[in-house]
Amino acid sequence: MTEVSNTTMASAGDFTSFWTKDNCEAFLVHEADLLDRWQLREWLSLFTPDAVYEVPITDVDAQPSSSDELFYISDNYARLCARVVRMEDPQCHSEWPRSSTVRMIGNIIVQSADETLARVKSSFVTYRSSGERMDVFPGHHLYELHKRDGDAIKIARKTSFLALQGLRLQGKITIIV
Amino acid sequence: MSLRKNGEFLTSNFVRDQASEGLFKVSREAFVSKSILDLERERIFDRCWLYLGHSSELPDPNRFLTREVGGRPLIFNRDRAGEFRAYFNTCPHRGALLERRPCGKSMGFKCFYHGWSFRNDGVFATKDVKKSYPANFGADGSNDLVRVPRLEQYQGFWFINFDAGAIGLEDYLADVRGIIDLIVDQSPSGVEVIKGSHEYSIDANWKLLAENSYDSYHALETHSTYFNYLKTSLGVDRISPPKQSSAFDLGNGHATIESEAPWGRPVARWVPSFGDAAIADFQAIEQEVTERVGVDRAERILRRDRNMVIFPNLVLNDNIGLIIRTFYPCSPGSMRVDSWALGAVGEGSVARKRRLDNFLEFLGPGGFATPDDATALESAQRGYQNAKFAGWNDISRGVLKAHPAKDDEHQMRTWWRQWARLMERSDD
Repeated sequence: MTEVSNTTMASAGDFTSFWTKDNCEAFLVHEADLLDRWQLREWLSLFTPDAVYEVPITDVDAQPSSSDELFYISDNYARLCARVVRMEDPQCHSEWPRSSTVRMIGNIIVQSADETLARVKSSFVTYRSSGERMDVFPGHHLYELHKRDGDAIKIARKTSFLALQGLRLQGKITIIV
Repeated sequence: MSLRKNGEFLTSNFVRDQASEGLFKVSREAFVSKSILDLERERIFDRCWLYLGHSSELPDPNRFLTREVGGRPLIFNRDRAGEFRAYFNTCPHRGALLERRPCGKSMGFKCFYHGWSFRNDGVFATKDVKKSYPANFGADGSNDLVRVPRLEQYQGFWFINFDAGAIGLEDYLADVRGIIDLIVDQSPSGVEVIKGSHEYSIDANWKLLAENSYDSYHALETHSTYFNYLKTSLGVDRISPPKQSSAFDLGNGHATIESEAPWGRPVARWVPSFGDAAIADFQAIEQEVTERVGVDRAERILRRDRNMVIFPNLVLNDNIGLIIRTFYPCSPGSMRVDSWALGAVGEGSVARKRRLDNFLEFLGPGGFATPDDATALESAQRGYQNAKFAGWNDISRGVLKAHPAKDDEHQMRTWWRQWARLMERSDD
C-alpha cells in the first residue's frame, strides 16, 4: 500500500486523487452528521455487508483482538444491524428518550491507500446529553474504507478507541461514538 | 426514620418480613441514607468475605495486580516462592500508594515518593537507612507492608476479609461451593479470567445491583429489545417460558436461580448465531463433559443457567457466558462496577471469540441489556427521592410458594434477611 501525504498531490495514479484527505474528511463529516441526527438506517447503509464495528476497552495494546480479550463492542454486520434496530425501538430504555449528541471530528490522516481500500484515522470528541447529565467520549477512530462503483465510499471496518481509563464517568456506551 | 433506638439498629424500620402473611417489604430509606451506608461499611463490608481476584490473573511468581476492594486500595500478588498475598497499597513511610500500576511482574515494590522499597513478600528492604534511623529500625516488622487480615481461596477464586476473626471462607460460602464447582467442571482444565475488564458505574444504590443480578421477573419487560433480537436470530416467533425454573437459598445470604434458557450457552447450547461450523464443537463439548462427570451432573452443567449472588456484592453468573461482577458504593446514590469474563482454559481462538461475542451481545456497558438494567436502577434511585411519602419496596413475589421459581423474589428475600441480621449485630 502506498503512504499518502496529507496534501493533495494528484500525481501518482487515480487512487491518490480519490483518497485525498478532503474526500475522506467529507465522508466522515457526513457519517458524523447522520449519527448526530439519529439517521441510523442511512448510517448503516454506509457499511459493507461484511463490515465489523468494534470498541475495545480502554486498557489495551495498540492492536487488540476481540478473539483474545474483552471489548465493549464487537459487532459483525448482523449484530450491527440488530444494534440499529434496537436503538430505533422506544423500548431501548437507556436511549429513550433519545439523548442529544454532537460529534466533533478532526485530525484526519489517510494512513495508506491503494485502488480500492484506504486506512484512515480521525480524532473525535462526542458529547452526549440526557437529562441533567452530559457525557464526553474522546478518542480516535481507525477506518478501513472501500471504494465502490460510482466512487461511493463504504466502511468495511470501524474501530473506535476511547481515550479514557475505564468508563467510571460515563457509565455506559449507548450511542455510536 | 430512626436508624437506632438506644444505640441499636432497628431492623423493623427497614425490613418488614411478614412472610406468613405473604408480605415482604424493604424501606426505600435504605437506598438513600448516608447513615445506613456508613453502617454497611462497618457491619457488612468490614465483616464479610469480599472477592479479590482469580488465580489465573496471577499465573506466575512475582506477578501483581492492584485493585480497590471494599473501598480500600490493595495489592494482590505472588511472592518469589509463588505464594499468594494481599497487602494494603499504602507505603509504611508516609502513606502514598505504593504500587500505581494496574498489574505487572516485579521482585519488589518501590514507592516513588521517598524511594522506600519492599520485597514482594512485604518485608522492608530499603537500603541506606542506617545513618538516619535507629540501628534496629524496622526489626519488629513495623516497616513491612501491612497484610490484609484474611486471604483465602476456593477453586481459584480469592477472597479477603478485613475482620481477622471471621469464619473461614469455605464455611462462609456454604452451598455456593457446589455452584462454583459446576462452573469449574465445565472444562477439563478449569476456567480462567479472560484478559480485560469492564470498569463502569451506575448512579444508583449498590444493593439495587445485587437484586437486579438475579432478578428474572424483569427480563422480558426490560430486555424486550434483546429478546426481539434473540427471536430473529433463532428464527422463532416467541420465547417459551423457562423450564426447570427454581431459586435456591445457599446459606449465609447467598442464593442462586437456575433454569433452562433459550440463548446460546458456551457450555453447551448451540444457537444459529454461532454458525453451523460450531455444531461439531458443541457435540464434542457435550460428549467430553458427560464422559468426565456423568450424565446427571452433565445435564446440570450443560443445560441449566444460573445467576448467583454471593453476599454481599459478588455476582457469579453462568448463563450467556461466565461473568464475575462486583460493585461498591461511592455514595448512597452511586456505585462503581467491575466485571470480568471467565473462559475455559485451553479453548481455542474460535471458541473464545464465540464466547466473547455472546457475552458482549448482552453484557457490559455496550451490550444490548446491561445499559437498560443500569437505566432501570437509576430510575428507581430517582423514584426514591420520594421515600418520605412513597416509602416501601415490595419484595413479596412467591413468598407463600413452597418451591419459588426464578421469577419470584425468594433470592432477594434471602439477601435482605442476611443484610438485616448483619446490620443489627452490634460491635463486639
